[in-house]
Amino acid sequence: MKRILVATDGSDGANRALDEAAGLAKTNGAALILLTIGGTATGAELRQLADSDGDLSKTLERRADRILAQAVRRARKLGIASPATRCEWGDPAEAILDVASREKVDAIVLGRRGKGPLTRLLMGSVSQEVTSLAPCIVVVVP
Amino acid sequence: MQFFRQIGLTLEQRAELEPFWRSTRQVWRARRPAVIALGGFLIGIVLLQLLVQVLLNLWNRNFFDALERRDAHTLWVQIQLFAPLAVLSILLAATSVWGRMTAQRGWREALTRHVIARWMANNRYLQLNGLMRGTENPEYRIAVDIRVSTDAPVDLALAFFSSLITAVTFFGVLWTVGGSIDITLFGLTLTIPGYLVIGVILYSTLMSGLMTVVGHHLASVIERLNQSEAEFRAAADAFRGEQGNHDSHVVNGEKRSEMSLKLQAVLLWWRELCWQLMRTTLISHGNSLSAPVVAWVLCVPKYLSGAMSLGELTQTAAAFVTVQSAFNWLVDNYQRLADWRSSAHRVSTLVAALEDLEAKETAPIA
Repeated sequence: MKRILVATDGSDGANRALDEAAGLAKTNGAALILLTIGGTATGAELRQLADSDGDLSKTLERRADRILAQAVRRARKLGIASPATRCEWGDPAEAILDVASREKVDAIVLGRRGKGPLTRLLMGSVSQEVTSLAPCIVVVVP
Repeated sequence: MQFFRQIGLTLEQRAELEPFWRSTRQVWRARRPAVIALGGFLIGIVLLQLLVQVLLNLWNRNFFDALERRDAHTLWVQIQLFAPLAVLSILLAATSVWGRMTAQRGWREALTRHVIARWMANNRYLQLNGLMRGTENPEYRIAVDIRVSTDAPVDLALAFFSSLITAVTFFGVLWTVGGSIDITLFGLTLTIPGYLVIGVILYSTLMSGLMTVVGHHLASVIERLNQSEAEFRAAADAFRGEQGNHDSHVVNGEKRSEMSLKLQAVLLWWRELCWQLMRTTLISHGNSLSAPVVAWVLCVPKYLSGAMSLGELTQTAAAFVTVQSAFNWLVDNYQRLADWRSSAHRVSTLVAALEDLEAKETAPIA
């Protein structure tokens, strides 16, 4: 195993996935790639931006940078000296699969996100979609 | 302040649109006789439409009065009168479409040719090509934004004028036909003169107030969405521009990511617009259902007391709805105003950049 991809959104679940991925990378001497998929904003945030002439793209970029910076710090604490970082936008499952394919990773590590039952029923979950379509090993951390 | 912000009339925004209006004034000045003739023609059409509306309102009263009296002869006369009124109304509506679209086409043509001439002179289009901030995608600004920015003002201004004179005229109908009403409270009889005028003002204020509260983010969200759409097009354009460069594979990933980010921004604003429109639809649809009923309810006491005929009841109810609709001009045109504001702003930015270049070209070399 030479390259491990871990997706993070800064949540507790994603942090647990990052811890597992860092452990796997250290054990196997593999490179760790930290990926965040940006592009979410609540209605209240959007309305505030609309009224204050704020720049949504820059806000999304800043948020993604912050998540990646936190993930890098966490990975370093866990003994990964220089993890690579990637940022994508849009559909999370599609973005994870796309990066996994481009970076030719050997494993994808994901946290399981706590979506509601209705959202899961209508949209499916990111981990389900990635697990069924990934070209490599997928580890879903509960 | 929020109210003015919604319709783009804050001083800062007016200044931002100044280059657009400056160019417009230049092209109008060059065609002054045609502009005056077409403007006068359009105002004449609006006045004639109002006249027909008043005649139809009177017809409504006479028809229902005849119906109440079971007067077959008058009913037949009214039916015969309706045909020419309807034909006149239809012809005026069609003529209005011709007048408005001719004005829009003329304005668009003149402004587009004016901007193209300035854009192409001295190869300015090469200098603007990605070098000056806020002038990305000039082709789109010339082709689409000029169309939107010259299209909407004609419709909006005519609708505003029409709403204004309609409201004033039908206030008269409500005042004279609706008359006053006596209300007895604690043994005291209170006479409210022009109670339907007061009623329509209160009802319209309530509806407009509700719409302003519920939809006060709408104009800003639409403007942001339009801006995001423009940035997405610019990102796509930049991506295409990089293809064929010897190092295109290096910037490919960056540009693709930029496009994804801009698309995501468009989708987020679109989602917010959906929520905003749902909220305003609750009010506007509720209003379309309740306005006629409120009008009838306000008129019914006088009808039941015998102080108002069936014809007067239908006439005043129709006048109430007409005035109320006229009051809704701002609410009905929220989206078009916001679309216009963002397009005019993009045209302004392009014109301002061209003016900067022209100033540099004519400045004496130090």
